[in-house]
Amino acid sequence: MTRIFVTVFAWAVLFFLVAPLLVIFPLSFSSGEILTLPVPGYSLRWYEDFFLTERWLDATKNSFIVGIATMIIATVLGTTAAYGINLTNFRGKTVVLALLSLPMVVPLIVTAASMYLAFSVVGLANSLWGLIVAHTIIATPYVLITVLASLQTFDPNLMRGALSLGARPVTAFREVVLPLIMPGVAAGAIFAFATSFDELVIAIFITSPGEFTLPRQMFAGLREFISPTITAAAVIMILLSFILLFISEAVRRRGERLTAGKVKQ
Amino acid sequence: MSKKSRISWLLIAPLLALVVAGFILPIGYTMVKAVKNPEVTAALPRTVMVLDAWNGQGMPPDSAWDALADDIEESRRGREFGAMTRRLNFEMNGARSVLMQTRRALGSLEPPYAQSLPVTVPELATPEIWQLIKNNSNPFTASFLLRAVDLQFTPDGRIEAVPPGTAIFLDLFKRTFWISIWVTVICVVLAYPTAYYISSLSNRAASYAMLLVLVPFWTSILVRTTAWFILLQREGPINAGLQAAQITSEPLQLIFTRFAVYVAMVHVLLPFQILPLYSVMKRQGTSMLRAAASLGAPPWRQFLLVYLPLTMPGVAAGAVIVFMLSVGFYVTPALVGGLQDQMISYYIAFFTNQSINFGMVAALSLLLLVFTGALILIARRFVPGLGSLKAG
Amino acid sequence: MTKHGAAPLVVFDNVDKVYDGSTKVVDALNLQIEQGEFLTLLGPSGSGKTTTLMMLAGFEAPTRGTILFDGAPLNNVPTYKRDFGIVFQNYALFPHMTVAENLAFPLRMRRESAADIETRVQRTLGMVKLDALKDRMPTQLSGGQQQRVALARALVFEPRMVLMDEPLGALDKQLREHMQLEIKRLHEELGIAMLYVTHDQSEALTMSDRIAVFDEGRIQQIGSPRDVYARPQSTFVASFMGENNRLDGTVQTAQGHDVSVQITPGGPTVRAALAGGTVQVADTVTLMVRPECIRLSHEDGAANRFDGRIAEVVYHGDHVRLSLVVDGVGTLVARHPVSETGTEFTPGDIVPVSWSAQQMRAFAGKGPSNTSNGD
Repeated sequence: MTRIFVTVFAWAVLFFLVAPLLVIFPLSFSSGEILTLPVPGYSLRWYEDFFLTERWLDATKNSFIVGIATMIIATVLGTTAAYGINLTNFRGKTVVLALLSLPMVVPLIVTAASMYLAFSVVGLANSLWGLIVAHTIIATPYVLITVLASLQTFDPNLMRGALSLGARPVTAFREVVLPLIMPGVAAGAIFAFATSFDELVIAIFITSPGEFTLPRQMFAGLREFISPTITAAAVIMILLSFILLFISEAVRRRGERLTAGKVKQ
Repeated sequence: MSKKSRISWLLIAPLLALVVAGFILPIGYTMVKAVKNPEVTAALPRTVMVLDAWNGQGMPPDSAWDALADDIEESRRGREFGAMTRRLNFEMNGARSVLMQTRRALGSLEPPYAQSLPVTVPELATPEIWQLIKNNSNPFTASFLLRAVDLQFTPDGRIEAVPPGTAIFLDLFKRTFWISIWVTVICVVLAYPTAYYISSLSNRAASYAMLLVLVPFWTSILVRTTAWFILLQREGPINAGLQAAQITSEPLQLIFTRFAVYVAMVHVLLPFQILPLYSVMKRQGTSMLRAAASLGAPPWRQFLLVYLPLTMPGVAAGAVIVFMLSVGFYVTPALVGGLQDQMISYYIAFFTNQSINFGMVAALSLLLLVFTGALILIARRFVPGLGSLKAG
Repeated sequence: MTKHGAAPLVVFDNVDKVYDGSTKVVDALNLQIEQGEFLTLLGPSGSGKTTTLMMLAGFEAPTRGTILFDGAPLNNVPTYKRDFGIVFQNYALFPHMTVAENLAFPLRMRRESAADIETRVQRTLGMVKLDALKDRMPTQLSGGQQQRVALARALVFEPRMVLMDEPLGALDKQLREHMQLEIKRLHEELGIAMLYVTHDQSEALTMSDRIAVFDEGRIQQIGSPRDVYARPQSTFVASFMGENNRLDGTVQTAQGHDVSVQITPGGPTVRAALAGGTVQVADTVTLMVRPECIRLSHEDGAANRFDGRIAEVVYHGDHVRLSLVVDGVGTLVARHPVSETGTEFTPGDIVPVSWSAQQMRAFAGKGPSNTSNGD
């Protein structure tokens, strides 16, 4: 009896989670100007509007620029830092770890407002570079988490082995460590990109109409008036998230396969 | 320091530098702004000096008038005048117009001003404005922090409650807290059976079911909120559906209501509760329940005495995350909620982008930060290691 | 007694290793490794043997003291320049490279030509009889095969020395014994000095030219397997190298190395060889004699002859273990080989018991308190 209740309840919740996203899809293909169901007719006009309006295209372009830059910088900084953290227990390690986790812990609104105030003083507000810096800072903790997790399952004897065979430390890192932690690095990179691409709050504070990102543009659209083009933008973002999730899962599976049959003690 | 430690520091340094420069310093800068009070001293240096010698009772010496005139004349060119008037107006409504009036009046007057000014600007003939200037010539002020909890300074320097019409912040904090608590509770109630159900499925079925949790999780908060924004419109699909099913005859006001805020926030935050719960439940398995059964415990007791306590860490971990995120939430309430449903974050944004008052931004941020910090420290008792990266 | 009579290859000169400012894991180590020899560092866990190997490899730095190789100090030479072949306990094969790629790695680091690499990899794989597996991934190999790949990888670049850290620990008994002989054979074939770390004393006895027995960061005794086994200089070494019968007694007479000891007051005396130092009459000594040295007959030349009553008989396939009670001496365990026409032993029988004075070692003072240990 309870079993049936739980099953129904769970499926209801899962439906609740997914349904709103699904509803957006048909709405984006609606030919009508009012967003409601049933859809009066099907049309691609909102997608056309999206791809032909400079505003939307510029916003998408900005999102990709900032997203990719964030991904690269966060991944490089995060991976090197994770390696350094994993290397040895140096004095002050707990403090450093606490500092590096702060961006995850401080409420985003506080981070956004503070950055805006401070960045304005050095002229970084209202620039894509400011946004890149801000996004890198909030994305890097996630890179740290995934790369550290990878490093912790990494056999330190592999590094020693490589050194004993004549590899200089950097070569050893490149040839032996990196390929084996690549799943963690890749997962972190994807997460960094996703974090930056989807990010809105900081973008609200730090960008002005010339540098709007896609979420920022959507937000503006919602506040002012609802053009159904927003549904097209939303669908595109959902598809992008889905692709990122898929890539991330594929990377994770590949990583598991590589270390699955590891030499047992 | 050992060689390894040196290499460690070298590798961590770039990231640490970025975090300190781009994050720690800005937050520190903002926290300081919560108590900084530079505008008056910047705009009216001479007046401040003269008033420093004044005891605050009765009227200031005549030299104060001339000093004021000189200062206003000087700051005419810069932006300090505007900043100063806004700052003083924050403390006493109407101060700004008095000072603007003064500036206009000075255009047609000659020194000494002690006699001429009070005629054109009668408000200057009473001590309040002068006390106000004097009280705010201190480089630091507690004014913003006080205002953030609906308190203010009286002209003679005491602390009193802000008039009921303008007292919004305490309510705001309460509202934020309550909404967050309810959202957390609802999330826990919804997540628990769901996570349990998924954990009881075969691996293959579970991964499909988890997909239904992960896809929303990976979709941006904005998109999910937008979905609700569209769904809850008067002419939106939900209303259309209700009317079509003849449950209602007229469209309901769903958008810009507290209901909308709850629905949307729960929708956004639910995955954060399901994921840690699922992970704990998956690890638990059924062995403990079976052991309890073999010892004679009926299902409801197995649940209450064994399963619930064992899965509590998952509940706690998720609940803390949900609550913390919810307290600082901006996007969702801002989009789907009415003015009466806004939380602290709304006002932080408001004072930054609309009614510019960095002091209030800082004060509210500081309080929010303190609250979050306290929350983490308390929650750490129940969920060890919360809020910090783990490193072997 | 060096094998080749040349200057030592490796010298540990007063080396200390201290962790966290307080734990001394290696204590004033002085050790020489001769050219081409097979030296085993033997000891219980925590005795410092692995740390010593790690310091030679360059993974740990000595807190004090110098390590010399071919006369030149190694202290500041980084691992990747030391040119030692190292076999790790868990093999440390690169899981993302094939067997051939694993072997090619050190040759690539030395910038050998592709053709040379191919030849040498092939040859080394032949040496360990793994030619057929060269394109497999390490995870597809059995434990024994992985072990041989690890060995091959450590040899392919013709290192100046090979270091092995308990390489056979993960293998089952039969495979382990087979590999012990394989490694020994390779050692003879190649003539490279090998440093071997193990806690298994039978392994050390099988393979080594010399054994250094470690305990608490110091070398307790170093010598040939026979030296260390038959002529232990301390009760620790005696217990660690194999089973012992242990008796405590008082010295009756002492002349040079010969001592006679009385176990129980008023009881018989036994003759033993002093393991070092001097003793006086009435001193307490610990006596140790190995079970296989206890004969069930009165042998000519055996100074200790008694009669013993059999208390317990345990059959072990190729030998039997007998507990014998000798009045006035104690309970002794004897190991007696089983033969087709051998006598059957029954508890309660009285049998002749003897052992030579040379085989019973006497140590001044008290030793470890277990009578018979099989470490």
